[in-house]
Amino acid sequence: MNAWRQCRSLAALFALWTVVAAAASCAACAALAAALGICKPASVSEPLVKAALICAFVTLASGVGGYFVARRLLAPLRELVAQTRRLSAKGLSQRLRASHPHDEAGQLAAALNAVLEQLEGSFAEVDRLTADLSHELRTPLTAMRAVGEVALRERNPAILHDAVGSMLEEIGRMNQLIDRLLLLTRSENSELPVQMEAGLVSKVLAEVNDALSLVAEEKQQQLQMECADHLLAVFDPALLRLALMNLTQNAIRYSPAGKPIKLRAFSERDAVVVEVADQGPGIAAEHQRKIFERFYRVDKARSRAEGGVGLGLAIVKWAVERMGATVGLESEPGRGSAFRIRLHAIRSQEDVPDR
Amino acid sequence: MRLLIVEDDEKTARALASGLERSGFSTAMAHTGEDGFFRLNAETFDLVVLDWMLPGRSGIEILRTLRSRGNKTPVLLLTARDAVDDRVLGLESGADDYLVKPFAFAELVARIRTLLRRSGPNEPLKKTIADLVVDLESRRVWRKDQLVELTPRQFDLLAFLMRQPGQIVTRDMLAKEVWREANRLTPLDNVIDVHVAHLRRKVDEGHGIKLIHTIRGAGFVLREEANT
Repeated sequence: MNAWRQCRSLAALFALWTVVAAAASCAACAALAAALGICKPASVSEPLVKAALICAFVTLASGVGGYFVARRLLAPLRELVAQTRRLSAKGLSQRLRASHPHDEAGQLAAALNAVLEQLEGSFAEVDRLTADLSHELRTPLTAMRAVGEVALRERNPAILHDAVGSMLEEIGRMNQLIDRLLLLTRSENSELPVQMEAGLVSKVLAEVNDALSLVAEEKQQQLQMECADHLLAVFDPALLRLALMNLTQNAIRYSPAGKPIKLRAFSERDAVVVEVADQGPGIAAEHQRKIFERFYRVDKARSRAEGGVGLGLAIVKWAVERMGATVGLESEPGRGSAFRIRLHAIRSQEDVPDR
Repeated sequence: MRLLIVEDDEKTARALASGLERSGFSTAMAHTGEDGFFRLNAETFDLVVLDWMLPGRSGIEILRTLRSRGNKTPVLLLTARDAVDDRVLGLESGADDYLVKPFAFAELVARIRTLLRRSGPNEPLKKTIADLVVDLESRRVWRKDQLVELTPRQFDLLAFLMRQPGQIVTRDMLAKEVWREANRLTPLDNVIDVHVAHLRRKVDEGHGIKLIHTIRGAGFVLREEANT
């Protein structure tokens, strides 16, 4: 039984089936002949022996023939197996080639190639993330090491004190980075509860406005809130606030003093659009697509100096998508950027139709 | 007050012990689960700082056995795990509070003080430091007998600092306690810094003795200090 399992192949299976089918049809023919009285089963006549021999030969021949036909039919599959064996995690850029793209083997190859494509993407993403992460961690480590080594030679307690403080700041930043990264990856795998509810967008906007207006004032910027009181949408208040806090803090961080930052919400067809618009430097087209990726920075040196850990927009995207909503960016270098979150609107009786 | 620190990383344990002794506690250390369990059975402590991941007997096992024997010593659980399930498991196993590593030492001290105070006397409604008086009930503040006008947020901030005079208060603590922000992802550090700066302007400006101080890399502290 085990030996059969080991050498069991689709070709052998097909041959076996052919043998069974041929034997069955021979038996059926014999039975039919007997029933019609062509020959009498009682008397073993010569023609009957001949017929039996022919039947046996036909059965054997169809078995052998079936095996070879099946082997030939399955050749593309064997070729795919050989190709697949040569694949490895390192060589995910390779693709399977089938001689006929439209037959079953070809379809299998296409399906496997699609999986390979995805895997290659994920592996590349992990590689990139690991490289970025080690860079992001090495930067504060380098700073701490330099500060510590200089401090070792120092006798003045005030300067020593300051050195320790500076090292603690870097530790705080690393801690924040790990915290956020962990939350991002964890929530991609498992489910944190999302509490969607119908709510007033103006309430969340007002909270963000309250929290950040003082921060903006420190930079001689003004937060301008424009939102009708009655705009109802479906969202998770904590996630929406998280996204808006990140977007607005970015706007404050990157736009120059004196330029206003607009927090707006308006209805557009069946959506409520929440917008954070600044008149900062804007984002060039080549960066726009990648800007929501983890650790992607338009200006590497600058955003780090501003205190970011490179995860703000990744968190925005994560938070928005958890709500089943979308976030987009419209930006033009020199004129500013507008980030828009589109939430599902709710029409209520107080809700005024499109203006 | 005598504390037992059960923590397998000796460097961390020593740092915690010396920090806590400086904060006025007396401490004992255990580096394995067995040792910690043995000491808890043999001696009486006012509070235990217990690491979750320990060689031998885990923190949770110690905690469960302790509680099943009716020992009610307050336990502050330390752990590197911060998944919600673990938090729940920790508290269900009988921990009184829970702190995720790496934590700010200031926060550890604040939590320990809170746990020890739980059964203590009610806090007074009027608090004073130098010539600053804060009335927690009427929510009014005087500096040198002069009423200081504060926004509600500024008052909450000052009241929180006032509850632990001389102790460092971290931004994380303020985010949690004053801004009521449970979500650690929400960036509030800038917001807090700006509010503290405004509060400081109202409370300290024009006075020889400064009360609100920023400790670089750690947080803020309320204490008397002449011109920094």
